[in-house]
Amino acid sequence: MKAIFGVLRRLWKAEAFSPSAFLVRAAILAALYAVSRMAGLQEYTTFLSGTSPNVNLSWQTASAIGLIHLLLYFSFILLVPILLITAGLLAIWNRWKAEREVPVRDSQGTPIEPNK
Amino acid sequence: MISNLKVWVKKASLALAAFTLATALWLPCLHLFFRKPLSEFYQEKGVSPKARQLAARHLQLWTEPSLRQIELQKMRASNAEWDFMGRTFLVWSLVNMGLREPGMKDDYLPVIDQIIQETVKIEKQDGIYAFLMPYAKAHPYQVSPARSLFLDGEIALMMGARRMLQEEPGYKQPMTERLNVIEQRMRSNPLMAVESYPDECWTYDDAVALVAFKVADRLDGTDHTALCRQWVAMAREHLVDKTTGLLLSSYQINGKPLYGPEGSTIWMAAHCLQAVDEPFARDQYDRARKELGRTTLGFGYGLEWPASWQGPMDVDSGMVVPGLGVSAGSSGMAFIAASSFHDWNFLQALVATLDMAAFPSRQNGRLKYCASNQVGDAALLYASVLGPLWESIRQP
Repeated sequence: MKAIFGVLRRLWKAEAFSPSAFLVRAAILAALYAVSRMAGLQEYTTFLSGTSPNVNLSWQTASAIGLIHLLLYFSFILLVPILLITAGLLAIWNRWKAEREVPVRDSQGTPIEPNK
Repeated sequence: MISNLKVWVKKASLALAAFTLATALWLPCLHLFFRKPLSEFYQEKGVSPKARQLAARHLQLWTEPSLRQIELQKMRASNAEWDFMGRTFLVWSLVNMGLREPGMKDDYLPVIDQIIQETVKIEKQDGIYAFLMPYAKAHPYQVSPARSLFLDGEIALMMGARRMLQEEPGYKQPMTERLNVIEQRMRSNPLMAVESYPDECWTYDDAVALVAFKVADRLDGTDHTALCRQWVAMAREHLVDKTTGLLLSSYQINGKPLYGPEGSTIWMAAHCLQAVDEPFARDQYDRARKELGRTTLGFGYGLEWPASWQGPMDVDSGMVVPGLGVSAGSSGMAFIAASSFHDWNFLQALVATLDMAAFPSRQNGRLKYCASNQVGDAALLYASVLGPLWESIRQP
């Protein structure tokens, strides 16, 4: 459990443009969509056909709920995969770059740590 | 400080490049997750799984009045016409399903009769305005007594379709009476214009009425061939938009155009005309496909207006996606036309859009689209089973 929290903490504190940060964003959007889906907000998307989603609510309120679900859904099917692919591409790039960087070695062939 | 900023810009640029590449990779693939074999939606023989599930949901609405009331209340709050059209599309669908699966006829006929009888009863009790939008009362009809071709044509076709599935003598007289009124009104002016709303005639309703005449000819041995030919000749001359070659949607009784070629009208008009004048209907469909049908990234949709026509979005257009111009109303009707004219690629792309953006919801073998409504789902059901009724009308 502690390890899981440790990973989550590292992900949450990840640098803004790191692969981890994109993973976190994707996870947040997916979680928000899951909540909206479980709450049954998709029923309110009937406003798209010009129909009142719920006769007990005002048109504006019901449509706003439908719109929220619509935005979360499109985030889920469009943004989430794009964020995941972005994370993957950045991870590949970082790895490739790290492999290309040949460490400086001393006369015995031992890698020298760069000055910090 | 500057060095930090440089690092930040470098990382941000790299992330942006990765995000752009990811977008370019993902968008063309998206439709693959929603593109299914067309046979799930439409089958030449038998009934597709989706059609069966959609029908199950509609049959439930007609066997559980409380559920139906909720659905109708929602729709009538926006448009009373949809209540009526939801009935007609469902009857035409059930007839086609019965023709596809004769063994199921006995299940469908009681629902068909219930819908027809209840619809006629409401019209008798509350008058034609019960199924029309409120503006119908704003002006008197030019021709009295006030009647709507929208109602007369679709009710006649409901009765005729029912009789095509299995003869029911009780419908013969009321169907003939309605058709006689339509014929008499069509013949009373050179443009054959019959009002649906006061001083407002719709080619959608004209086309439905012409099919009803064809059904009567098949069932009762009448002959409206000349009348239908006359209407098509008149339409070619007076009701076609010069730029697109598409039929106008509506016009005044003196022939003055009201609305141009609207997607939510023209797809259905082309489908109906297929039973009346196949070459003309095919020409209309091909033109509509060019002007109003679009496929982007594997997703099909319909526009409400051609590029050459600036028209308003009305209640029939449904929600319109800004930028792309995707119209819910036009897209829904495009299913019917694509299915009717066997435009399988376009139909498959439309179904992909439906599954992606209409929020399908399945429960106990019943399917509904949350972004749609009862009339929308009934039109989709119709698109997924149409064919046999038109075939039996056109048989020599």
